[in-house]
Formats: sequence, structure tokens, C-alpha cells
Amino acid sequence: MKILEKVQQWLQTYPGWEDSLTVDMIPSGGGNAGLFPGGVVEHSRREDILGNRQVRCSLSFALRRQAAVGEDNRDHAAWLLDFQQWVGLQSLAGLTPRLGDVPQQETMQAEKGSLQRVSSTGIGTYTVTLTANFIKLYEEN
Amino acid sequence: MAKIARKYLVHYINAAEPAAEAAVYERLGKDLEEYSPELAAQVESKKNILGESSVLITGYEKTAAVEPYYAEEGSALFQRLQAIIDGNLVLDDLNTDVVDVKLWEAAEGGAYPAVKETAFIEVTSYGGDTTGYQIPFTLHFTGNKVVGTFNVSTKTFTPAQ
Repeated sequence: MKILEKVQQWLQTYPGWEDSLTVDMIPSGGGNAGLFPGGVVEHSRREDILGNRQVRCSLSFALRRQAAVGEDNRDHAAWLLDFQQWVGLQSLAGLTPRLGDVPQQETMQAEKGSLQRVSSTGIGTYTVTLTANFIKLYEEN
Repeated sequence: MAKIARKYLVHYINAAEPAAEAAVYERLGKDLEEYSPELAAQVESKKNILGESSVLITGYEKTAAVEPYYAEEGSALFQRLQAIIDGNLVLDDLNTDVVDVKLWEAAEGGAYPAVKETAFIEVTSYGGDTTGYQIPFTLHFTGNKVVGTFNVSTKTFTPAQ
């Protein structure tokens, strides 16, 4: 299964998830969410004397969720905070999707959840940044 | 002239116990970014009344640190190191040999030029951080070397005639 599919499937196991999830777009109207991949960043590369290589990477996504906003949006803010906490607990328990080759050193964080903008029709876009850190191994034959 | 890649100087350590009939060689190097035996030459310098210097190198006290070494289930070397820890083994129970194989040379029948040297294993510590169970160790070489060939498929050393 490809990385994007793994992340999508895992996100939809969140108990508070009721939205559809698309990639690189959000269908108009409230109650929808979009996953926007931010690309892989390589942080370091190490090689052992056998020629095996280890690359530390991170992969980030912006998760954007739309909801109708009014005068009091506590429910939406609470959803964000609860979701961030859920991601943290999933990572600690080793339940986040496996993206690399060293499972015990993988982490996933959900950070900076906030209301980004409100449309003229009263649809708010909430954004949270998901960052996965993992290690890829390349073994020399 | 091209540089020789590090992976072509290969090191095998005999993980069998000293009393074993046959050697069990395991390749050193997984997760090891550097393995550099220190020769620690014994150097004597003298200057005569004419101002001339003479240098005598009379021997070596070679050691090599293997750090990190990550314990792997099923590894004979791990079992050997764990036995040293569990039994506080000393003296000849720490005896081993290390074969340096030159893969950049031409092979004959799958066997490459190699040099075997006896050594003693000193386990430095055990445990380590959360990346895995680690047992770093230091090899203390005796200087007893045998030139020969090493077959990387069968993992056997054959002394030169």
C-alpha cells in the first residue's frame, strides 16, 4: 500500500471522523476535509562500512477541515485539540501507519491546529499539520 | 587511480567458542560507520652526537573498537558476547580471531586474499539507549598473523601454502 493510502486509511479510524477525505482539494461546503501532502524532507544520511545506508526523513501533510462557523466555535476547536491528542497517543502506542523500515523509531505528530480562514458564506477552514518522522534503509548487496 | 570503497575491506570475526572445532565467522559492520584498528606502534627515537636521528619501530599493540554493535537474535557473535557478560569470562575464554579480507583483489575460486589474526574480546558495556540492545566491545590483537585466503561464500579461511 502506498504512503498516501496508508495515511488516509489511518486518519479515517479516528473516532471523531465524520468527513469525507480528498487529496489536494476540499469539496465545497462544510463537513469535508482535504489532505494536502507537503513532500518528503531528508534530514540526514548515514552509511556503515558494509555500504548500507540509512536516511532519516520527515513527511508533512496539511489536514484542512471545513465547517460552518458561527459566533461560538468551541466544538470545532475542541475537535482540533482532541484530534491532535489522538494522533499523539496513536504514535506513542505504535499504531500510526508504517512509512519507513525502523518501526520503533517512527513518530507522528499533529501540530499547530487552528482556524485559518472564513469564507464569505461562513465556512471556516481549520488546518492542522501532520508530520511523520521515519527512517528508510538501503541495504548493499 | 580510483579510491577503494570502504566496503571492499571486509572484517570477519570468529564467533565460535575457543574450544569449538570449526570457526564460525560473522561479518562485522552492520550499523558500524567506522571500524579503524589502531596500530599503536612502539616507537623508539634516538639522536646521536652528530645530530642524526634514528627511529626504531619495534612492535604494535593493536586494538579495534566495535561500537555500536546491536545484538541480533540468532547471531552467533551476539551469543558469544552475551556469554562473556553472563559468565564474567576471562583469559582464554575471550580468545577469537579476526580475518581482514581484501575484496578489491582478484578472487580465485571465490576466495580472496586475507590475513587472519588472533585477538581477545573485551566487552566494554552492555545495554545502551532505546535504539536497540547494544554490546560495544574492543578487540585486542596479539600480533599472531596468518596470511591466506578467505572464501566469502563458505566463510572459511585457508592458510597460504
